[in-house]
Amino acid sequence: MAGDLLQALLTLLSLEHLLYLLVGTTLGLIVGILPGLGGTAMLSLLLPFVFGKDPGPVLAMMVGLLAVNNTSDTFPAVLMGIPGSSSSQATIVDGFPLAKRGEAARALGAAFSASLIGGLFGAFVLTLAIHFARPIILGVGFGEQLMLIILALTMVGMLTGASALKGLATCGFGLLLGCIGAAPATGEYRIAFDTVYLSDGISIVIVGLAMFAVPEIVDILRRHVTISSTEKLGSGVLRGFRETLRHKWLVLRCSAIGTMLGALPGMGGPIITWIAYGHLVQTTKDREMLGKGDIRGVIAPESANNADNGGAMIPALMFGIPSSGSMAIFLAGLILLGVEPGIGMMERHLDLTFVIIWSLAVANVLGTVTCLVLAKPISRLTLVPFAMLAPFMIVIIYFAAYQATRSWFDLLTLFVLGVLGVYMKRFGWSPPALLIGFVLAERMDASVYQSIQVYGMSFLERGGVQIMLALIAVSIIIAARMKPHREPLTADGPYAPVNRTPQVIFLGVIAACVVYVMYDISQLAFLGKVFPMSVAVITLALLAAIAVLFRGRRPGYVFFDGERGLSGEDKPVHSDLYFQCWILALLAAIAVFGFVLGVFVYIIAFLWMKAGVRWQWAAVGALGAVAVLSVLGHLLVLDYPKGLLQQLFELPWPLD
Amino acid sequence: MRTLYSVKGVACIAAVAAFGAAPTAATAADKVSFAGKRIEVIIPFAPGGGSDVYIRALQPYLEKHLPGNPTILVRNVPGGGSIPGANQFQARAKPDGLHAIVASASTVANFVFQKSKVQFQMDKWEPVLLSPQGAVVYASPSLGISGPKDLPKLKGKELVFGGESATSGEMRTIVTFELLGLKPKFVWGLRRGPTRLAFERGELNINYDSAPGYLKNASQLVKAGKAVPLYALGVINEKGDVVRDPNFKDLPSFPEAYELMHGKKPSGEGYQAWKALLQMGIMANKAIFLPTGTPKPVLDAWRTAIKKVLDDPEFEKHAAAVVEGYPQFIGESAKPIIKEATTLSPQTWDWIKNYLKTTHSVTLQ
Repeated sequence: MAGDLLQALLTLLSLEHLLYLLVGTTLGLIVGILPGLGGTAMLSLLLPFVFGKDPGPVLAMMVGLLAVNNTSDTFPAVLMGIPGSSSSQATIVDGFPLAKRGEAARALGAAFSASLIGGLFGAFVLTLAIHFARPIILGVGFGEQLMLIILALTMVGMLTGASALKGLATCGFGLLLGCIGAAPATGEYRIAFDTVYLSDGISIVIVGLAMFAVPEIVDILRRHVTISSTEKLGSGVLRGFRETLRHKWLVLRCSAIGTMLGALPGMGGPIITWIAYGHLVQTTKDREMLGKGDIRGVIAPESANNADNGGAMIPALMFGIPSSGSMAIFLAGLILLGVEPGIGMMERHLDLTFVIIWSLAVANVLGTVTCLVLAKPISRLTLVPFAMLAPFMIVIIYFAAYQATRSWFDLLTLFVLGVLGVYMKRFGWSPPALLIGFVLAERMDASVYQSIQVYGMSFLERGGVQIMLALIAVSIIIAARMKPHREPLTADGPYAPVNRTPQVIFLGVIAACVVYVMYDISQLAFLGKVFPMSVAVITLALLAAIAVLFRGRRPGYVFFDGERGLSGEDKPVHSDLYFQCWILALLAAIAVFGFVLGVFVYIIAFLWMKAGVRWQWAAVGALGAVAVLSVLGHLLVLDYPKGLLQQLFELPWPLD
Repeated sequence: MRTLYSVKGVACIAAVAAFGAAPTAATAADKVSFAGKRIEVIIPFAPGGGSDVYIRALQPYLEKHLPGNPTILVRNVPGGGSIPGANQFQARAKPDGLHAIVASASTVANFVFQKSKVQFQMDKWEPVLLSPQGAVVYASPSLGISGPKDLPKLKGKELVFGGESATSGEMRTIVTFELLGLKPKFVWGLRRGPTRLAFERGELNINYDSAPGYLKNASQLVKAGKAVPLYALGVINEKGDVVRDPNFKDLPSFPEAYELMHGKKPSGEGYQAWKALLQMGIMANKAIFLPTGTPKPVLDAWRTAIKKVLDDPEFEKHAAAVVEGYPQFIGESAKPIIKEATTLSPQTWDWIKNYLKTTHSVTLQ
């Protein structure tokens, strides 16, 4: 054991190993900044080299890439409200409001230092725990998995927004959205409109972009000049760092959550970060600022999502089960090197296991420190006039969406869900609640069925299940007793029952969707429809309750219309439809000119007409975007959506 | 029974069944050159999966042996059980040797079973290389078994089997249960990795893995005494008979397992249907195709190159694990297999439809 540790340490500290680790980390950070790409595309490009003569360095690079998978995506999340990966969605809830207050640097400082500590903690725990991990993981059966999912679902109680009723209904809607695709029990397609595209369900990245990025872009375009409301960037990176240290127990708790849940196959980054966020809300007393720019709201999910990287190594190395696409590629690389993960990995390759775990930690330090250094200068983006940033951001989110399945449907889905997101924000339906439902739907449906299929109802007698049931009860009690911090009701504020037609229409649309789901699945086999049907019935009941409350004459939290708070000088020039049309215009440009040329035309038009940039400079900006897209497309072998032009004519690269 | 199955021992790669590679082909192919070109290979799956690893292992060697040393770009078009990627290939790929696709068993299965969504004509594509991949069925020793000879003991036992869905790639395995007269409880919605884990936890007690999964992971369970291999499905030889899997020579093939169980050789429509599923799931497991109408010299250039790749000692040393010691079918020799894998006789259709309906309450369109 000691010999293995020493051997591992020597390998780790060799110059060659560190160098390649650094190269991998740098590549990972660069790719990670761009939403939607993640490390997977880059990792798969490295794979052929593993089959070559000298695979050692490639492996170090792969670890470097893996380690920072969820590090640099914090930049777009905090600075622009764009969830680059599904693991950075929870960070946005408080990170972006901080940036809007001009405290981007502070938020980033806290996020990266929390990431750093989380990652190191994960590696530390792994070094100790790896010897006991196997029996623990084997103790988590179908029943325990189901309970974990339900526990995660109870977190929604903490994230409902001002109206618990609306929050729960939104969660139900999210669960239904997550049921799109093949039913786990029968393989029947649900709500897929007989298309291939929906047969896999909707990508979580697209849902995240639609719920967070689109509404914010529309909102800021209408109401603000820059993302940051103040011209000074205020307190900086170091302050964020200090705050992380001050909340050290929160960091440790969330790192522990990240490592433990990351080790359980099938939990996945997005679930883990939402649990960490829910845990924060459960355990804090002063919740006034949560969701409006509380630094702890950044620290909690960020310490969990990097710790999760280490945790995810356990099922990968000890059972040969990858928890993500990136991990699958890494495992494939290992196997081709002759390392066989699974039983006995600890006996056969103890030194290598430690090299991997510690390399993760080292790469994590390299990555987060780099990001910390870059945090301040990059934060200045929030001071740029937003109309100049917006066209690029719109292009970026559509680029990210397209990476989901590389289909035109990705773009359309983002647009449709984006419209939903805009009105959810306007009418006070909680996006995190929808996401939690969405993330958990498939797993929940599958594990309810699997537990009952394997155990009948006797799974409830298992010890692990009962412990989890107790935790679930505690979580529900906390949620029920929680009094969310709410703004006072006023007769002319957003909670007033004045001009409620738009809200009623929105409620009607949501209810119609739920009814349609019930109709769509009614023909399926019992096991295929029992879960979505139950959810739909409950959701419809919640919606009906909301409809009843809508008849009330006094202000109430069930009412909300973001437009009502705006009057006089605050009233934006343009309606919320106006900028949605501008987003639609990008799709139109792509449909005609294809992606690269469409983006060029679009950016020029937007900068010239909305930001008042002279057309020459607009062209320079657009050319820059085209250059980046082309280089990326070339290096990472991406293709872009084609338009009418490409149908009619053969165009040379990069316009093809 | 504790047997070690070594891949290295089975060097079948050299046993290339090259019926169609005529000696004149090489000279015609000499005129073809891809110098300075970029070849795009579509993988209709996400990075990191079996097909992805397969092509990325071949990629550097194909670049080396294709005339003119072109650059090969691997483009993943994930999702939809490979239908969207294959549709895209059908619609866009030009027959110039610069466009190829890697299809897998699920591409074949969807081509056969999801007709309404398929817009590609896989049976008309030009095969370059077809790589079979076997599968092994194993069970828990807690069922009171110690080897294939104990198969009959499984009758009447409470078996629990997990998998993706009754209509997916699991069909080649679950039909063997049906023919053996085993009636496991099915737990769907589980991929291969999680089923192995659930098997280890004891929640499932009969399971299977494809050759790589078995060799890398499940064989360790066997060594640790936590799993007992029962039979490998087997491979189909030139005569059309199902024979033992070259990677698992010590394990009975399914027809032998059938004999162990029932005391007679398998026959009838059920068995014919299973053989069709074996062609789809085992024999046509991975394949590289060029588009329909690719000119012969270009085809020959590719086929010659792939033959050189398989013979390349460097490839054999570093990357041959991706073909796992199965006979490889180059060019024309792959066509009969693809034909049989993609065309089901009406009887086979009826049998499969009926089986899915009665055992799994699933209706095929």
